[in-house]
Amino acid sequence: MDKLNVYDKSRSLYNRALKCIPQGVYGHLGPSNGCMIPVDYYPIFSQKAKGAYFWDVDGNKFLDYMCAYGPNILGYNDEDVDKAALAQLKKGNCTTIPDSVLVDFAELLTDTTGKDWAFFAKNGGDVTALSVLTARAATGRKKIVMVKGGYHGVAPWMQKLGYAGVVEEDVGNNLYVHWNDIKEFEDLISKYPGQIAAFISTPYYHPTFEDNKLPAENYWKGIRDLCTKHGIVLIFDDIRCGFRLNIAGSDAHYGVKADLITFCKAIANGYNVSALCGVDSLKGAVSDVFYTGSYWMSAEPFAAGVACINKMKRENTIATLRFTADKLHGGLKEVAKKNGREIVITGEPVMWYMRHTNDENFFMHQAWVAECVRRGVFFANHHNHFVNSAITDEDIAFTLDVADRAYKAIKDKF
Amino acid sequence: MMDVKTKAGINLHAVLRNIQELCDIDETAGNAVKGKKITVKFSVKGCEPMALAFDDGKCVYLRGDALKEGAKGALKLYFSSPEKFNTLVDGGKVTPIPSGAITKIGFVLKEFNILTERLAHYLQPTEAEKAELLTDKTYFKDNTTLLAYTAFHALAEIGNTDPIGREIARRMPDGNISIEVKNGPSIGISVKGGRMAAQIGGFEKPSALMVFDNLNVVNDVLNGKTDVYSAMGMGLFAISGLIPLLDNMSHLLGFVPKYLG
Repeated sequence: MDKLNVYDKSRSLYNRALKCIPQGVYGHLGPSNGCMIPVDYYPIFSQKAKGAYFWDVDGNKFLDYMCAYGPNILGYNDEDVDKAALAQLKKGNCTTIPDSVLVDFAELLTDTTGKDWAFFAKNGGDVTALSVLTARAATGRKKIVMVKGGYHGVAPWMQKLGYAGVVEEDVGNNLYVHWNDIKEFEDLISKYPGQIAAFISTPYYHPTFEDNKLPAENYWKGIRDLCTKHGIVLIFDDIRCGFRLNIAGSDAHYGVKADLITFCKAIANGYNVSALCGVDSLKGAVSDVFYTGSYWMSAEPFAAGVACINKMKRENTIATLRFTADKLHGGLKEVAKKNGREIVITGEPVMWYMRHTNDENFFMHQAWVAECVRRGVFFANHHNHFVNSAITDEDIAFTLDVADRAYKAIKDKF
Repeated sequence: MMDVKTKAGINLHAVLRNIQELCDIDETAGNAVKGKKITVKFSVKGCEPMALAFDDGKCVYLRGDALKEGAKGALKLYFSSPEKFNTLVDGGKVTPIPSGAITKIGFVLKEFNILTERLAHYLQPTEAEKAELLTDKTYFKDNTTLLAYTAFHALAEIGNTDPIGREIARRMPDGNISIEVKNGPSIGISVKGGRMAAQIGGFEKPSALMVFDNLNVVNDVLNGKTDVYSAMGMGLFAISGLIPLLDNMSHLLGFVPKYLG
């Protein structure tokens, strides 16, 4: 029986939301930025979550391959992480001076990543912004080199000219290179001698709407060498990849040592904390930067982070994620082939991006994803996906069955 | 900040362009040019010229290659700066330099004046007029359609000329966007190498599709009563296909009120 979800309560709630919240649900979790196409195939509001699943307000159950866009790595409401967080919450959370768990978390994070210090905030953008401030404070230079199509958050300098509210001056010190192009970076260094403070990039190229690309052989070594030679701070934006590729950070995964590395998402399995970690030589510079926030010292997420990282180490979560991803991808490719389609999977397997061949403008892919969603498997159209360690073989089998039914549903349209 | 050259381009290719449709939908406008055969070419320094060719109650907008052939024997009006042309369109007093069929200059002073007044009736009704006019179904349809034609043609001009608009257009992949209103008009926007062109009517095989549920939604969006994101969430406005085309187009759309407001 091909049961299709209906979303009456989500729609009703959304209409209420529109009256008091811009866009109803703004940002990447909303129907617009979330590319929910067509919107009526998607749930808007969640009711509860556990393990690999969430349930919407209509009671529909979804196997979730977006993992809250990254934070869910051990499964929603992981008992060990929740237990640690709740214990800390009862003990004390937002207080006038920080709880001692701040030090525990910083020690664990620096030990784990091989960096010398950790600075905590809330969101990824908080710490990517801090990384750039730190690089400028350390070098006395203005310009920042970033990869075209890269994403580092939503502060004005991270956005593009022409976006609402962004002015020329906001992005005036940004310089852009193409992914995997060391020569372009070298040319910029020659063009702007002594002016480049930092090179900031995600560990590999994972934009939306495009096949994801891994670093070419020696790419990161080449970038590292140029940064070292010219006194440029190398920043790894590991917000999305952090703890999914390597427990020590994605710079370690790709065989280099970044000067600064940012973490968020998987760091505490959904509890709100982010971190900037760095080398000792930048500790003075980051200390000079005035940077603070009302909830940045909240203890509950720190306790969750300690529990999350320890559990990931204990259970070798990264190996589990890779095993799950490989199995899933093999199955998806097979199901696609059986239905006369070809699915293309790019990027790191645990954070794969997918599209279909012979579908240049994505119309078929969007229809297939929508049919999967309304059958209970939550994919996104044009963003990379995620796996978590709570996904079982039965879940993968369910995914493949849904994928198959979704192909059959669109058979006559494309 | 508003770029005067872009504004002049919009006035030429998005606002006055509508006279083509105006002559079909508006009886007064059609009657004003009934029996007339004249082509009026508008040239503004630094802007791409255009012409309106009138023939017995009908009007055809000419640009690019079509203009080269179609403007032969035209009454030519030259404006020595975009600012002067914009002043004229905004109702100020500016005298262009006429050439070509100057014996027909009376058309500009009489019939063309009627056309611009009728165009303003649809595109710029006063708040007091609007309340009453919009209750008329035919007026509502014509007003919304002309507003949409103006907005999306203006959007293409912004992408081609405005300094920031050009940055946005450069980020757009090549492709064709169809903007459709269910059971209503459609507009096409094509993008190639960062250059944009608008047309009346969509594409048979678009790269990206933008569908408004009805004219009310179009009217609400164009008049700022609702935003496209909320309309999309409500299912009143749907997108599909090559989303980066639409995403960047939505950024350009944000510039339109600055020029037309």
